[in-house]
Amino acid sequence: MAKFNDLIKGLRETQVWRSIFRHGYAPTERNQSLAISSNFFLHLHPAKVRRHALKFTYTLGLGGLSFFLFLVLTVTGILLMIYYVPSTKEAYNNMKDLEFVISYGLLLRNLHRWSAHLMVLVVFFHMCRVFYTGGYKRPREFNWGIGVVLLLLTLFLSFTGYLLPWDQLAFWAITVGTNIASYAPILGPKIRYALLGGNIVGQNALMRFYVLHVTILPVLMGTFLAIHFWRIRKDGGISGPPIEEVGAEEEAAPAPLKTYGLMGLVKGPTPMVEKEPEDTEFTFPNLVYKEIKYAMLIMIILHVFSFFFNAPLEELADPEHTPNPAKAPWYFLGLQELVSYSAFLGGVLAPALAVIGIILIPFIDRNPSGVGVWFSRERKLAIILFSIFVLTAVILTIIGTYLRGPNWGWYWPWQEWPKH
Amino acid sequence: MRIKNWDFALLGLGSLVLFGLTVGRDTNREWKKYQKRYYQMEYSQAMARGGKGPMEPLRYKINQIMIPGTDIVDRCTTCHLGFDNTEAGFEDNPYKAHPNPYQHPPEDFGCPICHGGQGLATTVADAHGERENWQYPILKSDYVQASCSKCHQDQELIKDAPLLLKGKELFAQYECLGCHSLRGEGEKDAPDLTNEGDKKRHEFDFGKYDSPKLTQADWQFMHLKDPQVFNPDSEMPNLGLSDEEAKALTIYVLSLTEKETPETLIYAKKP
Repeated sequence: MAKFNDLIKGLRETQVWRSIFRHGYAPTERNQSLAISSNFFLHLHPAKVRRHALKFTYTLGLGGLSFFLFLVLTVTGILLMIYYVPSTKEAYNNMKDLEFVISYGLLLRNLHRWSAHLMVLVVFFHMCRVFYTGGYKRPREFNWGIGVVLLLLTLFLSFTGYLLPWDQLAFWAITVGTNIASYAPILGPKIRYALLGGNIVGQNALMRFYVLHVTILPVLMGTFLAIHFWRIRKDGGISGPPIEEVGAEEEAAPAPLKTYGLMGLVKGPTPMVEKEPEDTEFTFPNLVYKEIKYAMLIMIILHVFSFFFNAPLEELADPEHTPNPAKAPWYFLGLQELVSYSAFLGGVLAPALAVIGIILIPFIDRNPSGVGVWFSRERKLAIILFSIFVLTAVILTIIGTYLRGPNWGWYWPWQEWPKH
Repeated sequence: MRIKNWDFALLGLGSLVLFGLTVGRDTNREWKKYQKRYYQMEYSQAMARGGKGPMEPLRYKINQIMIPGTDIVDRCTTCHLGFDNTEAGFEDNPYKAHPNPYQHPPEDFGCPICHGGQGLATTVADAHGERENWQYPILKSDYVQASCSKCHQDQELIKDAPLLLKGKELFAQYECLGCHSLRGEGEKDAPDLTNEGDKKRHEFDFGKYDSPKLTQADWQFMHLKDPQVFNPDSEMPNLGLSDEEAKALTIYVLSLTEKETPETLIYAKKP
């Protein structure tokens, strides 16, 4: 044992080791800082974070979880790409190959499918968390907007992926989904035509959705994710209750004429500038360990779920047999429900106003108080209004998913649908 | 500062167990069971004939027939290993030899083109079409005759598809076209039968008998024996058919298709 320890110790002193890890191993404060700042992946984090930001009950880890799911989807997605051919003749057979002959193929597909559904949910919850804790308030207005873009990209990524298995579910969900897009005045039909590469869902549509799904949208997603993370740092770390006394923007020291370090250029309330580090903790290991454990737990849950539940696969896409009802993917069923009342109002105006409204929230609600606490009493009106919006979206989605049957008629879950 | 590591250990162990379960399940696929039994049978027969030596290591592999010019891939022979083995001892399914294999060599035709079912699948339930996402289950025993007219004319079928021809006769004899229509002929008082054989399983209402085991053939047979069995309001008269007659008519009705058979198959064996 002693020899083993000596070996490890010797290894740590070799030139190779020291060229990779530039900090020592002993748990000193210096090493804890360097573990973050000298690591490419971890330097996304500040060396120290506010104790408040570490509390699970504050963030519920939703932002990190969204990012982790994005990583899971990237890895499983790339592996699936090895087997998938975006052709109407082969795509469906590829699904069968994944299930019947490719080692772990079905598991990959299950993981990809369930992670995608979960990601839509988690990103939405993340938005709700940020709203209810006032995280969008100055100086984070812009990052809130980036977040909304990321939510839209998530939805669009999921939607484009939905078509790829080329089964009845995929075909009709995309037919319905792109029909909703065509209700926009003037541009609507053209958008649909551009998306599908024609007037119906066919080979061109499959190719376009594939390219969007595996290149264009992921690249956009990666770019906006980078901006989102970068802005978190620039805006002073994740939101929290205001720090008392020093630290306001105007009190930042004017930049010296000659600078010897980056610190001289740093503007704004980064947590480390001129602030007492009393309410902060080292990111390593306090936050990093939490993140790893959380990721492992989620991975286990996803794995168990994918072990027992297979991703849906219906019959081969058949343009001549329309299922009744034909439904869009579940996250658009609220929209489809609205469309059933009025195509233009429900399918275009309502969602457009909702998206613009959400992006503008930080500029409309300029009440600076209540940041860093869930459901602050100082923000009653804002919270009530937002909750009405969330509740409406959830109720419409539930109606569209569970209570609509043939011809978009109303059916309670215990009522049987007529057969023909 | 002390870091408690038990939670890492627990999560790591959980991941490891799951990994093991996944590998285990993926390596023990259903079809391997059938290959193992086949090779064991082959081995014990060789022993009985006076062979010697230990059994060869098992050579698990997916067998598939790919038909050039079509996108048909059949993996049926992964389990039905004895399809070309005419030796004694392999008379029962899943290892039964195909009768008269030179008539329709499997390597030219594959299996589902005549037998139905899902060629890509490698589990019994999926391959035989007992799943919601596969609408054309296998045609059992005599019902396979329903496929013959996809390529053959009546005069070619006298020997090999007698029930199909008998069904056609009964169809005329009972004047089915007095109510039904078929390819533009007959009356329109009852459903058109032009593509009755193409109908998917879920297009049939099995009423109180609903079960994934029931096929289109079952529906047609039960309905011909008792037209009101699924729908008490059905106006179809009960023809008082014997089981044999109902079977023949079922086969004929199932043979009514508008689907095109790939030309590469029709001419596969024509010199």
